[in-house]
Amino acid sequence: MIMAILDAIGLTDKLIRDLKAEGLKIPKAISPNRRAFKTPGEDWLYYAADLFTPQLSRKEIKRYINNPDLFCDDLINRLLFFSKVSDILYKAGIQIDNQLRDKEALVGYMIILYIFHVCGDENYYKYDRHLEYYEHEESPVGYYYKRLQEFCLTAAQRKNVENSDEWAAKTLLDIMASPLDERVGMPIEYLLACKDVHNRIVRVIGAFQNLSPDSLLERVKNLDKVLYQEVLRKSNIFFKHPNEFVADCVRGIEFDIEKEILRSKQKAREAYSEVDELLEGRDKNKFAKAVSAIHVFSLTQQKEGFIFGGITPSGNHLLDPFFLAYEKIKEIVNKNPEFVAIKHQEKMQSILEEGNPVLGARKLVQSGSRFLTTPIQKLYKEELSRWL
Amino acid sequence: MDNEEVTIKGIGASPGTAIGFVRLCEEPSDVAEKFEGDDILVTAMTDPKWTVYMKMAKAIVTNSGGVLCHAAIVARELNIPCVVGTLNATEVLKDGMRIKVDGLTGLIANLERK
Repeated sequence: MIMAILDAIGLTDKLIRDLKAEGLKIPKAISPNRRAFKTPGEDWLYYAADLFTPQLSRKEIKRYINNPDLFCDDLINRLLFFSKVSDILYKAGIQIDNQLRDKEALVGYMIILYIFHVCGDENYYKYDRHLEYYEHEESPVGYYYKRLQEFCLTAAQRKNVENSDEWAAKTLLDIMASPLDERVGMPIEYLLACKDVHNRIVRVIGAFQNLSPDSLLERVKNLDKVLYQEVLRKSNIFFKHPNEFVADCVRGIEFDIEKEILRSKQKAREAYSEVDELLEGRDKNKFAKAVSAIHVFSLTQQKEGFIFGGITPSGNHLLDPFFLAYEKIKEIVNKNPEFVAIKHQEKMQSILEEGNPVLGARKLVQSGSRFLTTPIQKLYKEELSRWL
Repeated sequence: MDNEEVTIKGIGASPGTAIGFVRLCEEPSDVAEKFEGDDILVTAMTDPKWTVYMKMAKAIVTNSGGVLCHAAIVARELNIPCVVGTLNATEVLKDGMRIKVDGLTGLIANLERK
């Protein structure tokens, strides 16, 4: 029996079976969904994130409209699973270099790139993209956003303001400024940001602690203009008590952030009350539910941002397997152009030199395996069949 | 913005107006090197790593995102005007350019062309 390529580096049949039991679904190929919604912003995002992403079913949409918290839970849980798969793929990926020859390594990296993308589509983008589809009423987020817009416009008309559209738009954004729930305090995002500042200042000052005050000031100025302004403002404590200076900077930022969050909470409460007073009957309850739902979606965005932008449990970054595989594929193909069928070499090169790695990798995942020579394609299909 | 030339239109994501200087930043660490005061952070998109640097900006402008993107949510919470989804702010706006950002209408004006 021939051992599958990635079996040799730890991606065993048993591991794949276990991942499938946890919900890993790998399609044979990906195809674009022309009815996909579009993420606002640059076009490459549409191709990279929207076009190949599986859609939420009608049943799922209904469930998430009824229960936005469930949407949050499902997004976070599936993202954590994606993070786990990403970790496994990265560990396998770094072993490829030492253990496989170029031909098998190319197949291995192509499979890693493919699994990474389709797993991300199914377990992350499928949910996450909806946080951007607020203009589409068919999305759970859009459903509530549209209702909020309508309630704000109704309130504007009843209030008889001069420019009702502008008033409604501003009021809507003000309502969305901060969760009305008193239990939601300063998000951990801000606390960690302060810790990050602390580390940065310690790093900058620590690197030059043996310098004379003038030289140190000059170095800080060249390295970090923001910190330099702080040093100038607090030079009396900076040179005498650097630790106190650091603590003072962090306290200052924490205080500023807390003050702004209190202000935004107040603003949100006032805007909410203003609209609520202008609504009647059952609309009041519907408005309250829509506001609560939008805040759940906002907090979901912040929670998932941490997991996606942070590190996986074993200390790797979620995107590590992606960058590793994409760069290695480029390296191997450049070194061994004969691995690509002659008629596809130009196309393959243009994909690899796309410039935007996210877009380039997505194109590679969509059609790159078809460009390989027949024997390598065969190896690719054999390995992929284990995952289907 | 009647007397000013509108350079870009995006999605107004956090109300308020601000005048300042464009600081094009690809990475959060660019902020530390570029911010001098009256800075307007212009970037492709943000994530939690940007949070503390967003606090230092007078306004935020991004290429991507909508009213529920990271930049929009944090900007509203920190009361900073923010325009998202401009598509090409990082290409059209140049470092040091003096601009006016309207976080409600999504309009960005170049104040140097008057």
